[in-house]
Formats: sequence, C-alpha cells, structure tokens
Amino acid sequence: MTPEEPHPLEGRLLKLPLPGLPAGWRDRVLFEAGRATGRRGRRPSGGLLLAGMVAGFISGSLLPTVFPVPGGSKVEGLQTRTAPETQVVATSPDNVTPEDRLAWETRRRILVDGVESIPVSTWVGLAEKPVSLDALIEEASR
Amino acid sequence: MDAERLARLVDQLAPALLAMARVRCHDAEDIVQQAFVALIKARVEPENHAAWLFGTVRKLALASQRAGVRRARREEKVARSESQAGPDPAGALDLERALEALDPDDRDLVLARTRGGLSFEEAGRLTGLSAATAWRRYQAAMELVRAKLEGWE
Repeated sequence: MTPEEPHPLEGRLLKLPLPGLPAGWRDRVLFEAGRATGRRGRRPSGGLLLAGMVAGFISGSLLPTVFPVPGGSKVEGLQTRTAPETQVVATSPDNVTPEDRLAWETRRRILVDGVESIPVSTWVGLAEKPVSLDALIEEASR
Repeated sequence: MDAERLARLVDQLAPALLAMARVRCHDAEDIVQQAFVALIKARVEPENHAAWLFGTVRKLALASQRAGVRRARREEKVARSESQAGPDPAGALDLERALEALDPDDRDLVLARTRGGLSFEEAGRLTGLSAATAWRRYQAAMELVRAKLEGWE
C-alpha cells in the first residue's frame, strides 16, 4: 500500500458518527466570529479614550468630593464592623506590587479598548503563558 | 470569509476538532471556538483551512494539557453526554470510541486524515513527523482500529 491509496478502513471510519455539537455551541461560535469580524480593524476613538479618562477621573477623585460621607455614617459603621483591621496605607511607586500594576493595566485596557481586551481563557492557570488569540491570528495570516 | 462558508466549516470540521481537543483537556469547546474566531479574524486566509484548524486546535489543547488542567475521562464523558445534541444510543459505536485505544498523537493523525482530509505531509506536520513516518504510524493506528472494530462486532 502507498500513501496515495486510501486505507480500506477509511470509508468505514467516515461512516462512524462523532458526538454531536453541544447545544447552542454552533450558534455561539458563529456569533462570536461575526462579532470578531465586526470589530476587526476598529481602533479606539478619541471620544472613547476621553470618556474612559473622564470616568476614571470622576470615580477616583470627584465622587468623594461630590458625595462626602459623614464621619458617623451607617456605611462607615458597617465597614468598621466587618473589617476592623483594615488600614489605609498611602501608596507610593515603591510599594506598588506587580499584581496592582496588572490590575491597573487591565482596567486601563478595558477603558481604552473595550471589554474584548480582557484576557481570555485564564482558567488554564498561571504556570504557563496561554497562547494568545493575537498570536494565532498572526500565524493564520502568514 | 463569509458567514456561510464559516458555518459550513463549523459543520464539517467541528465534531472532529472537538474530539481531538476533548482527549487532552476539558475546555475543548472554548478551544475550538477560539480557533474558529482566530481563523475569521486572520488578515490573510490560510491556504488549507482544515490543516490550519487542526494544527491550531492541537496546539491549544496541548497548551491546556500542559498547564495541568485535566479531568478524568469518565467525568468528561458524563458532561459530554449531558450536553450532547442528537441521538447517541447507549452502546453505539462512534468514532471516538473506535479511536480511544490509540495514542493521542495517532488519534490526531487519524482524525485529521479521515475527517479533515489532510495529506500525510500536513497531518505529519501536526505531530512533527515526516510524511513517510506519519503514513507508517497511520497504517499501524488503523490496524489497531480494525482490531477494535472487529472486537465490537
């Protein structure tokens, strides 16, 4: 037998069924593919960037000013009861942990690029860097 | 690539791609979906969609496996039977059962060849083998499958 000749068993294997697709999975794939195509080539607009910056600024700086919490409020009382050991520590660039930086960078990316920038399939664990979608796309484009 | 063509590819190849990924990891559905999305986002389409999809799914499944996220096969089968669409009578022989005695790499070869229509050169590339070696391993794997089928009858 040569590689060009089909194996006698091939026809029989072709007739054997494979388990069907999980319910709803096909539609989900087509939907995600369509959504990905729609977003291809989209760049964050200046307006979106500005909106993100404004949102961050407001939530970080202005809210406590606009809505000050009185010293003896119920909210503060509750926080004191549930987490009495919590202390406010001023953060300087020296004691920012890598986790803090990662969290900050992720939030920034979501604000600038949208939710699609959230890393995918992080369940695989931290022991190995997951294969990125961008890398796959690059490979397919070669 | 238009939606119709993608849908045809999903219908044609997804069951085999899922079977390939399932033997290595429990997130097969996510992996295969990721591969299809990557394919449609590619700026330049690969020459052979099937070969690219089989290669990508295998790569993702191996990465997932190496990360140490595995489940017992029995657990996978229970989950699969719960989420499956379409009839699958208990005890019926399907391709996954016919191939379960094979080494995972040989399974990939057989699935890629019989369901993806890959050449031995393309199928060998999946597993880092030459076309000649892929062909020899394929022949040996098919003999094991034949024995399994005969035992089933």
